[in-house]
Amino acid sequence: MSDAPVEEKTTVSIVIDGDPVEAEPGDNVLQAAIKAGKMIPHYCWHPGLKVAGNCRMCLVYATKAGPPNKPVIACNTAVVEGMEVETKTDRVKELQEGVMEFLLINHPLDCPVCDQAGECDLQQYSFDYGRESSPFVEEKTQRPRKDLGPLVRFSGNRCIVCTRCVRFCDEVAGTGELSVVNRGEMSWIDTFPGVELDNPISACTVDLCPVGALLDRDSIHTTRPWLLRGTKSVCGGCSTGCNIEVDTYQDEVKRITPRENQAVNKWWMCDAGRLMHHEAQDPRAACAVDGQEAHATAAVERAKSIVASLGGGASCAVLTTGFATNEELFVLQQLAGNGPVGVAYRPEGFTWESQDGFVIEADKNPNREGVRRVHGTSDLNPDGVQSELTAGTVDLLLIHDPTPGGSAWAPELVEAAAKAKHRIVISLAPSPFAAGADVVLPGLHWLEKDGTYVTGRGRLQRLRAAATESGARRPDLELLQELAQSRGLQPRVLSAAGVFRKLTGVHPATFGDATYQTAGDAGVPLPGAEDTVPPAEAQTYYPAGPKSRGHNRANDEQVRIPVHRKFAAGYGTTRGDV
Amino acid sequence: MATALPTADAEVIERQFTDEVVEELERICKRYPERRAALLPALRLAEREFGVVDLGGMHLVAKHLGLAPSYVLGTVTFYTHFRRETDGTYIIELCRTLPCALRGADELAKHIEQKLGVKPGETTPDGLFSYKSAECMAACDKAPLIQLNGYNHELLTPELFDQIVDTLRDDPEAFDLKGGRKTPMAWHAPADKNATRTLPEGERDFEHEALTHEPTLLRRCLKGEPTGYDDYVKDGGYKGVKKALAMSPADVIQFVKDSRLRGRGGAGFSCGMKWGFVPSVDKKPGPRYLVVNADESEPGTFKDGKLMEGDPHLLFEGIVIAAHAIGANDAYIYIRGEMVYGAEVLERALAEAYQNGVFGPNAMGFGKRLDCSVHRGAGAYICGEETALLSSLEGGRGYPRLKPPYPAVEGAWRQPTIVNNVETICALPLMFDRGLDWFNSLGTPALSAEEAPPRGRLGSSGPKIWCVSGHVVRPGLYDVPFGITIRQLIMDERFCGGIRDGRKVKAVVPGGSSMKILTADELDVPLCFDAVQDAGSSIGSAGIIVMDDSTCMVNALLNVLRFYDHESCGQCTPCREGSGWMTRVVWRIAHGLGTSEDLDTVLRIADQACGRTICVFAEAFSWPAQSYIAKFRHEFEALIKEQRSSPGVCAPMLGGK
Repeated sequence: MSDAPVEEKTTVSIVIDGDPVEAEPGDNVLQAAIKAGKMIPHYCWHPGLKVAGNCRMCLVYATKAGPPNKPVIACNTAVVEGMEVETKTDRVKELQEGVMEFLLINHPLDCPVCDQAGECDLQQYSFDYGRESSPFVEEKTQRPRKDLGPLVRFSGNRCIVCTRCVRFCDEVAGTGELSVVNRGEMSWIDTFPGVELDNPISACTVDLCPVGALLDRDSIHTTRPWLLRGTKSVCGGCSTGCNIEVDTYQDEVKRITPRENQAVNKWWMCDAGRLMHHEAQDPRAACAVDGQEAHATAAVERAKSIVASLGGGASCAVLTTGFATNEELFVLQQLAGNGPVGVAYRPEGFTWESQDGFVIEADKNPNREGVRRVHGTSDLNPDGVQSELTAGTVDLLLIHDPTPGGSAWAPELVEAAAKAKHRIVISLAPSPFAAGADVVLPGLHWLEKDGTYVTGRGRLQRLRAAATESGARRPDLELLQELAQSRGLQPRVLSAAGVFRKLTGVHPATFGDATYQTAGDAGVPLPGAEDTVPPAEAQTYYPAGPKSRGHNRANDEQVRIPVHRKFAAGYGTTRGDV
Repeated sequence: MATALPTADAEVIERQFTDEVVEELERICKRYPERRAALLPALRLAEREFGVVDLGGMHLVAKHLGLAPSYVLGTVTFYTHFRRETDGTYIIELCRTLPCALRGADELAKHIEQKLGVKPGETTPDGLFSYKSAECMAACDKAPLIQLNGYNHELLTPELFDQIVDTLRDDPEAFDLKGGRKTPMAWHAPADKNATRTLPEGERDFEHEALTHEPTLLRRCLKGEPTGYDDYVKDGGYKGVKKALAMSPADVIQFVKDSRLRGRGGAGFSCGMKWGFVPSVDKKPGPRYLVVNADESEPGTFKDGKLMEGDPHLLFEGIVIAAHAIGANDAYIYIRGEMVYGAEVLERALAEAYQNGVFGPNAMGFGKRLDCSVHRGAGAYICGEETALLSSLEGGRGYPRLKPPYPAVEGAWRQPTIVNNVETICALPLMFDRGLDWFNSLGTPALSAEEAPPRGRLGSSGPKIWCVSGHVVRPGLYDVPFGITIRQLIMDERFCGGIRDGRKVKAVVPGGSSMKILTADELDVPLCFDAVQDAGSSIGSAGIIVMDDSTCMVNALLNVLRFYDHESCGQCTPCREGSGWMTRVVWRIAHGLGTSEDLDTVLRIADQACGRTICVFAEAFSWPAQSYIAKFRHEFEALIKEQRSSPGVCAPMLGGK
């Protein structure tokens, strides 16, 4: 044998449906298939949970996996060099049809009144892999319907006992509130009486549920999935920055669900974040000029004229909060010039870590790290502004308060604000600075904004405006830029991406060459960040939430018209959609 | 039976264990590498202390073992044997499974309902009696029978039942609750040593061998009382183990391989080969476990319970040999929850064995620690499946596990574990004591690859117990070597004595109710692993259920399916949904409500379930359905065509279906 170095092969070559696939060693057939863009239908398997192998939907035939011609479950069959897998042959189809039939016999088929309909894996697979009819004529089993916890409602009859929710509570949340009770076809999911499903990430069980057995009590019966418009954004609840999808209907946020990001939140998000869209319904600051309610246009004009009237040497002080986007922080920094900048933060709050390392950060400010990267330090105490105010040297005090519910400003600071010659307030919530201000402009909630936040671990992530409230309110960034324009700092109003481009030009050390394109949907690590996961690795191959989510949305690029397979041939397709 | 679950607002009663009980619980915990494994014993403690296993008890146990309360709830509701709040003082459980049904359990059920005035699952208004329909009690030769608070009352007649109830009502003091009513074991005529026959050259007469065979396994089980340590030693016990301990573990495994001993639990896998799968310590460090599968629950099988009750030290001796071979320091005997008496016998014998140094820090004076404990199940057929048994041993719901990894590589507590049937283990002392020649002389020989292509055959060696139940004159256990035909065993005057009332045999299940049925024409097949397999069935757990020509096969199938529907663990979709569906279809046919498509539906369910689940439970309910319909299709079709009920169908569907 020669000693010539043999290039070590780091992948396992297998064949799926005749196509060669390079799989990672240790992967199972199902993983390898999904990574290669081939879907093998499945319910119980989830990459974030241990293999249960109970739904039997991923049955396939594979060589080198036990006795020949015995079907195996793809989720518990390790890839072996040279393995040949068939997932689409008639005999595999027969396996899938069999399992689908069993799953549906005791299922109530109540899709018309089920919230999951439209993004239900059972419904989708029934369509894609099921038979048209079944000889089942018996009475169906009856299992209970109950609220398992404050956020989760259980409909026993819909449950397919895949145990994803049980495993999630055991393995991820580590709280173990759920268990399968009874046995056989009378098995269902239940809690111990008096111990509700109430952990910090309990509603993730709803995302995991492939059918309509677990539903989010917060959004139940409010809309239908195919009416929703989904916007990929990030959560502003804490410095974790969970990747989220904001689902809106007619410009109103109906629900928030997590998006997968392995660097940030895996497939999870906390219950508190999920409920944050209710904040957007809270009272907003009213548009005012000199204490009188005013039209937005008039108020903006007045603000612009104040700024324009300031002389070149006028001193401008700025107050903002840990909720301001990087772009807003940058324009504010330009506006302040050499003047003092104060940033108010929310106090530390609830912190928690799951068994698999998902963290709810104590820092309830989504962009403290952004402040640090724009200003060089995140420690910009409003006291600095206060002392200048007290000294009476401030010509313009610009207060930008995008914190939901308003920041807790020190009363002394509010009092001192009166000493500024002019005061402009852009605030989400009614602000204590409003009284006596020249102009008050309402700002937007982070759900309604475009921009970027930097997570506590240094990942730049994009906020996308999900709900654009019609009416008087305009994005904070636009208002701030118009003020900057009036002050002669920039020739025209740019988009958030444009402002960010300018920002990276001014702060290359902390923002590197990041752009909106590189940040994309998965975010990008900034220079010197603790989080170094590149975007391509952050979003892997498995979605949070049902696999069929978004399939049937009206705003999809390709509108799917469901056509039963029986009739599909007439449309020149064998699949159930055209 | 679906468990009545507490509603959400059910009050959790605060409960406390006394210090002594806590101490006892801690002692139990020490037997296992994880506290969770003590869950079933802890629930038994709660049951003993508080009379029931209620929410308060579950909560308390959860607290003591550091478990989530819902986990305990999930486990409790998986099993049927914990006392519930609604239960009366006396729980009467009537076995309704096939062997009992063949011998009048259905008629007895009607009588009990009348006598007590309650339906199955209900309690008499005075709170004295709870009447439950139950599943196989592993005493099928003594059918029909009830368990009264866990103790068997066998060969029951309506008159005997009335007597029991009346005594308990009028003078409970006079009733020995623990006594039960044990009937002597049926036994074939003593070995006919004088029988001589001229045999054709090179051929064996298995009938002759059977007739002249001295009982071996059951030798000490015949007197009705458990054999104590002294008697066991006096009778030549604990001799085989000394020979085994003098050998190296590898040699012991080779010895067992050479003996061709095949597992007696159902699958008939080579015992020595199974042991050989345990990885070496450098490949997989950590402890090894030996688990004895005494969860005998296949309807028609009742040998393991009798073996343990009659000759516990035979089992212990076997355990020491097996533990030595695989390097285990801990052995667990997982015994069925229903075998209350058996567990008591084992516990007493175990204490005796510890006293005599069979187990302990220096087991058998061999310088190694070997501990053995009895782990009681709680009423779930599926726990007889080896991986489900391990899940249950670890304190969980008895869910079978995905294979691979197989238990020999990764079993109990993720460590190499060997699970062997009681009878398999009990064969070991005899094998080592009497030698390979003796062991191999019993039963059928191995065949080479040339003789039996493609891979040759292991044959069937060693002593064997057959459990015969149903319509024979003398149901019972028969310690007869492999090779005798089914017909000889059930028809011979010196064995089962033919069919009762002079009737004709119609069908025989050769290996427990899950195996495919054989018709009267197929009874000349020799009872051994390979021949029965060739005949399209299997000797499984050796539970031979005989049905005479009065049996309605639709009703029999319904009985079998009802059992499997009740016992499906519910993990895999095809089995969970298929068992219930099939049962409901056959229920309709048996009640005169069948349609012409129904038989196709049943076969389709069977086809769609077989081979597609984690364990072989799908086969367990599919095989009977397939074979009953294949061989007795006309009976099904007649009921469907005439839209009439099966004669004698009265079995209520468990779970209210």
